[in-house]
Amino acid sequence: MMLPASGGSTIARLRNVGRTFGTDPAVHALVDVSLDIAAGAWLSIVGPSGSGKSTLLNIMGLLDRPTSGSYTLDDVDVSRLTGSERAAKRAADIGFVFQAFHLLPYRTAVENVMLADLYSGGSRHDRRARAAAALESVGLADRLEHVPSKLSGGEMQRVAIARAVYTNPRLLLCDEPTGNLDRVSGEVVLEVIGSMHDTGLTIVMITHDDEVAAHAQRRLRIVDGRLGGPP
Amino acid sequence: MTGRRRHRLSFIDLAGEVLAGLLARPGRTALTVLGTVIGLAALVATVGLSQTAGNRIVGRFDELAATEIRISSRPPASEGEDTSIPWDAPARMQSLNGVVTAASVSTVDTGGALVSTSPVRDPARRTDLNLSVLAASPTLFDTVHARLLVGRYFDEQHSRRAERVALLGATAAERLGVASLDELSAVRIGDELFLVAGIVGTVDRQFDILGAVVIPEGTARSLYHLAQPETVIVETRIGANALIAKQARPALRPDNPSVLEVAVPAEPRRVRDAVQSDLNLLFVVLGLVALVVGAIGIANVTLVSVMERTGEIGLRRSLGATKVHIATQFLLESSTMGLIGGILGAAIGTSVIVSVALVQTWTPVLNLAVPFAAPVVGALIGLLAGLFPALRAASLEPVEALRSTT
Ligand SMILES: Nc1ncnc2c1ncn2[C@@H]1O[C@H](COP(=O)(O)OP(=O)(O)O)[C@@H](O)[C@H]1O
Ligand SMILES: [Mg+2]
Repeated sequence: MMLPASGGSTIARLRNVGRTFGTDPAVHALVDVSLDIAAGAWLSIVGPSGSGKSTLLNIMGLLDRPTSGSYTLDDVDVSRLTGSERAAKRAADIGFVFQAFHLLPYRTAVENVMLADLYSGGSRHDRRARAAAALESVGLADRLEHVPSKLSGGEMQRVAIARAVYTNPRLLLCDEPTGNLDRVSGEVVLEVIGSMHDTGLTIVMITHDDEVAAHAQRRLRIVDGRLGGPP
Repeated sequence: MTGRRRHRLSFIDLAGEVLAGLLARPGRTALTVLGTVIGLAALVATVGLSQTAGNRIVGRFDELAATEIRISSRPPASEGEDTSIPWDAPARMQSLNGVVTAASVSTVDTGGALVSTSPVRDPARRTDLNLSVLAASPTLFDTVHARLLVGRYFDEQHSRRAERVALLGATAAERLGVASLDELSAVRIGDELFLVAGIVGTVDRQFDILGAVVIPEGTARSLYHLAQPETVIVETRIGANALIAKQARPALRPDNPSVLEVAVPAEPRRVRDAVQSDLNLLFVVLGLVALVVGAIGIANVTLVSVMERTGEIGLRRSLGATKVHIATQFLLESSTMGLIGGILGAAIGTSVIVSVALVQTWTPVLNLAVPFAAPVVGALIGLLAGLFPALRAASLEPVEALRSTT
């Protein structure tokens, strides 16, 4: 089925994307998914555990390749790209926020944010200042030199968001960003994601929680690897 | 639109990541490096110590033995054959180009006379000793590098006038109970009284001088009917040994060179090599074993580190790191551990050489290339050890790696 973009130019375009794992038995994690993501949109995809949300997000983030169909990112057919070209595109165009935060334990908040610059080729001389600004934009101006073990879960996720947006990506992909957080911290994180959307960033967020999904502008449902209409 | 942006991990950034990785667990890094430190320290010390010991042997042996030849008469082949060495042998040898000094020395047959210090025989004090008496040309003391404790040497005059003067070797003087020339200025050989001119403290060759009474050749000829010099000792310039050995016989006996025998000391290199290989083998084996253990240690810890940091590897891939970036980081971590091991090993090994040399009062000798090669070898070992873990890290699928919650 075909879901048109809600308006404006299209950043990402999936056509009949399928992803099958293994052979005996084959797991069809994604089946015939077609989707357009408009520039500046905040899209949430909601579905139960095991419905294929992470698989879809990993394909959109160039961490995984579909077994069928096509994926176009900024008018580039990414299925033609080599591994290192895809890595370069991840560095330049994609920001990830994971459920498990994935902060390096021995680095301070600002150092964790700066890590993103290593592979995206940002200039070194203002790196720390830009990282500090990114942390400020998620409300952590007073946590720059804290290591992750000295931060709350919500703060850790906000550091991860700062790291993801720090390189000015085209697309921010959030995989269950509040999955490890209590309700209050989750609300704060969703507010931060909302503020990123307000700056014009295109966001795709997946979650199993309808209430969380409700924060997004546009919502889609996924069941058994098939994308459906708004819930 | 995003253009083709530079996608290259700068070396400074990479070095920063490597350093941060190693310093995250400094204790573990230190322990991992230990094996390489021990291995390379052992190897550096072994090479240096054998060079130092070898140099000591060469220093003494080369300089003295390789510049020395001895000439003596062979036993007469037929009755009445004249096999004697001429009395002016030292002078003849010294006229040869390449000779530093030459001397003749002979054992004097005193007919069993004992040596004593007391001018008058005192049956209550037995100081009569059976010391050997040597007759020497005055040049002997130069030729053997003698150093006096007290007094002076005898000279050409004493020999020509057959004066009764003697020098005592340090051991002989000690046995006779002579410490200085003040309390005693004469020794008695049998019934003959000799003035003691001096005491020889040390020599570098012909060590029997130290236990003997040395009298001038002229004196021995007139008093004990010494017929001919027994041995001629020649000190040559370095490298002139073989040449002088060839020229000696025609120089001393142009009429019949074959009656003389020339002795040249054995090649010093063989002695040095024997000592070196003895010393080396054990430590080289120990050093290599420690290196292998060190390499396995680095490989093991790097592999553990890769597994512990699976999540981090996934994150870096999501941030845009390529497989090559990941592999390079872990390779550089393991190489750095090897490099540190090499630097510490070189420092410790060199200190061991210097300490041993100090204790033994040797001159420490070490080929400069060795301490500089150690860090290179260490880094290469680290690189090799990191190869497998780095490939493991690079081959991790980003999605799989991210599933790990570390
Ligand atoms: N590497 C894999 N190998 C086999 N099956 C997989 C793999 N990854 C995901 N799956 C399967 O694909 C389906 C979708 O997984 P996933 O996208 O992680 O779901 P969600 O994120 O919605 O919980 C699940 O049935 C899961 O077991
Ligand atoms: Mg998931």
